[in-house]
Amino acid sequence: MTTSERPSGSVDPKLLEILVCPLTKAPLEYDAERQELISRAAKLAYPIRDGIPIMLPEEARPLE
Amino acid sequence: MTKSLSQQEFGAHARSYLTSKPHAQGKSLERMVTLAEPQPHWHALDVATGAGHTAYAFAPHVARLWATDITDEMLEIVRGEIAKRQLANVRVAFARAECLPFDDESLDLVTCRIAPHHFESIPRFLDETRRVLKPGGTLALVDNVVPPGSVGDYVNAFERLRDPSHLRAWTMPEWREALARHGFAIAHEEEIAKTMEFGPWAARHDATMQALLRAMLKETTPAVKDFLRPTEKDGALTFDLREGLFIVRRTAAA
Repeated sequence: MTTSERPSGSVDPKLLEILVCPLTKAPLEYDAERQELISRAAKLAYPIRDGIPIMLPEEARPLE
Repeated sequence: MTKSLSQQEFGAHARSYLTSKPHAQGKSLERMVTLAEPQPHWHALDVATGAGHTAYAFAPHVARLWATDITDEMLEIVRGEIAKRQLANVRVAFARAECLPFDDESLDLVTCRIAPHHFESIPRFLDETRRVLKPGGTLALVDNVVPPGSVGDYVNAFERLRDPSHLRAWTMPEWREALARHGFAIAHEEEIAKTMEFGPWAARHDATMQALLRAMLKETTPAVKDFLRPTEKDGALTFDLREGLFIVRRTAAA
């Protein structure tokens, strides 16, 4: 167990490395400000709520 | 969002899964860890983690572990338990078993225990598991299994009456065939009997429904009784179910 403790609500960006868009399997961009994981390919922003990525397309915000 | 049957059932009964004996202490959990031989450098994923028992058992043996589920109430419990048990290498995410948000060939181990009988599509779950596992990676799988034919149909109907999110438990031959078809080589398999206490199992229902479930258990054919083995002892009713345990490796070629 080497992972450093993070304050609750934030996400260790290293842990997000292997996360991809569940629909397109394309890489995600981490928007720390909005706490979202952006899938350009699917035009969706997956929310991170209280540090938990919600990788469900029906919960994602459609991008313009 | 419209909630699926699994989200409704597990949302309503989340806390009971944290203390449920078959889930928290089942023999198959210990067997799974022993047989999967998790390594300290491994990256692992526990699919449909529920109350997180499999994640807690594997986390001390691997570098990192993701635990996924689709039910708010379950993941909330898991997050609390991770903090309590000081498992700093576990992270949780919402994800469907049939639509995993992990990169191709990014994981050494996928675990899934007592969950596939709730999945919309076990074949799609196996497709996705194969995709995210590295070649040679391990899938450690446990699920309720039933005998082939009418006895299995009866057991599935019995379980589904109690829990509408129980879609269908497979037979051992069905699992063997599906695992081979999805590019997994079976390293080990076994069946494990578990004794269920009717009281806690049926506790989510009212007296009428409990009487119906009890009747289904006790007033049935000899073949079904041979499998479920309803037993009344000191006023407590118990019955048996079986779990199938598979340790399989992802083969190199599809």
